[in-house]
Amino acid sequence: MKPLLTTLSLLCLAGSAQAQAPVFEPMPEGSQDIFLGLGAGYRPRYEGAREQRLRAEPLIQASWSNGLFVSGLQAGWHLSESLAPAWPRAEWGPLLNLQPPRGQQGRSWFADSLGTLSGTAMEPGLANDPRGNRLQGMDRVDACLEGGGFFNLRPAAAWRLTQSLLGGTGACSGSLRWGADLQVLVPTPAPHHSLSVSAGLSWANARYTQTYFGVTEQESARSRNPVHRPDGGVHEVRAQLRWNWLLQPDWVLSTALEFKRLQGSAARSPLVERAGATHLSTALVYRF
Amino acid sequence: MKSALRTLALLVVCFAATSQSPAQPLQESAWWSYRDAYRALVRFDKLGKPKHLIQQRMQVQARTPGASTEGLRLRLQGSQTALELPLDAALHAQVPLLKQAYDDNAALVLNRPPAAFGFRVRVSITPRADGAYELSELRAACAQVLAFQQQVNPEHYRNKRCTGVSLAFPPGSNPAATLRQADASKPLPSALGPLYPGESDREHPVVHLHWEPMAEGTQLRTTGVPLVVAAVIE
Repeated sequence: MKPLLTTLSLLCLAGSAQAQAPVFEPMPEGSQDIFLGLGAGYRPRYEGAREQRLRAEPLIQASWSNGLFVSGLQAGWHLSESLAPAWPRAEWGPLLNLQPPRGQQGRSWFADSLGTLSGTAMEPGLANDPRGNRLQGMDRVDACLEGGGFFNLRPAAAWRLTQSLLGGTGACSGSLRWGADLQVLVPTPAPHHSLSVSAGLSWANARYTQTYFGVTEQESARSRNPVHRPDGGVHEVRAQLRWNWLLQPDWVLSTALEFKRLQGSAARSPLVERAGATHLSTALVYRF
Repeated sequence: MKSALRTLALLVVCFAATSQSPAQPLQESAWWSYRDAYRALVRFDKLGKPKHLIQQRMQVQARTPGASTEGLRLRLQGSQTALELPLDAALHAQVPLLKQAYDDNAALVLNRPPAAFGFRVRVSITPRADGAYELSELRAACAQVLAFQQQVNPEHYRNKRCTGVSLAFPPGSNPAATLRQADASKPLPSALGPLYPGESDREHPVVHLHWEPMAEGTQLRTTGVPLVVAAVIE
């Protein structure tokens, strides 16, 4: 019973849309475990963009003893028990996800952006692609709220299979997507360090892929992109390595390296300059 | 580039804030977040099955053999929490489950450098003050340990069974252990061995009891209270 295993709860200190429901850990009634942090993320300016941007990113993960949680842009409620008597253990409950908007400058992951790091770009959002900014002339995709649920299976303390099913409202009304990730906590000999690896994929219906990877006739007429009507299907596979360093009981340094690759008709979209992208992020997090 | 510099400046400010944290002295000490410790310890209280013959303790364990334990002190320390936790001769401590310490984000702190000692949660059989152990009771206690471990660490304890117990006594002591059955009694030898079965230290006089050939009604009697009565699970 090594104490390092209990740092599983730190696995989800992620600010991206793929943040997962944190492990439902036992705590005294009326208590909470809250992580708030600020750091930097180096990511494509939208899914499929060649240009990478460095920007400030807040990190948030909060769990309450009644099962409510906030993780990145997601919020949910654990309806299962925090201490189940047998393995495998299941965690489930309702889930809400906030999809950030996508304008011609790309994804606005969070309000605070420090702009581009690209040395060749003349101004933020104008990539050095021969066809220019492929989002130029495309409709803005507004922020929207997705609702659904999560179902996670833990075959053992260090393994977790997470799944979520989300349907869109508002600007992404009619969209449906399912994501699954397998997470493994890798034992480390060093105290206060935890290392986890995960791999997963996302499936989405045609309404979702059309919103983020499709090009309508009107958009085609305004932009340099040909009309594209993507099908539903698996649109992304991903793998992540996350390192959490508990510097002190109340300070954590959380660093993640992630590779994502678009698949199928989403990858063939004229908006996509590069199907595979590496994401790097690090943040200093305070534990309240 | 300017943006990158702003980001770097931001991170530097954050690190500066860290260095001014009131928890600064922890950098010089071995510590374990109380919230993480709570999660590991609360399972013993909350998970089902009878546990009246067994106990859970936290143990401080040297990372290097032979590390000095002279003057070793364990504290539960937070902004609103300050509690000395006594360590026994085998460096076990009873860690209380306290909401105040959890909310305080306290830490279990040792007066030793971080690389010297680590923390473990141990489950063992509760020693009897009178030194008299009925075989049936030892079997039941071992089964309680196994049942709990199978809940916490199922992949490691799957298809395992209890084969006996080991009693570890303080280093330098000369324990006497006797098996009594009906009118006959037989001394049990001790040999230097580890505090817990399967570990590498060889400092403690250990009495092993395998119950395969023994009849019900057998009683084990010892002089002196062992530091640890461990379940032997194979």
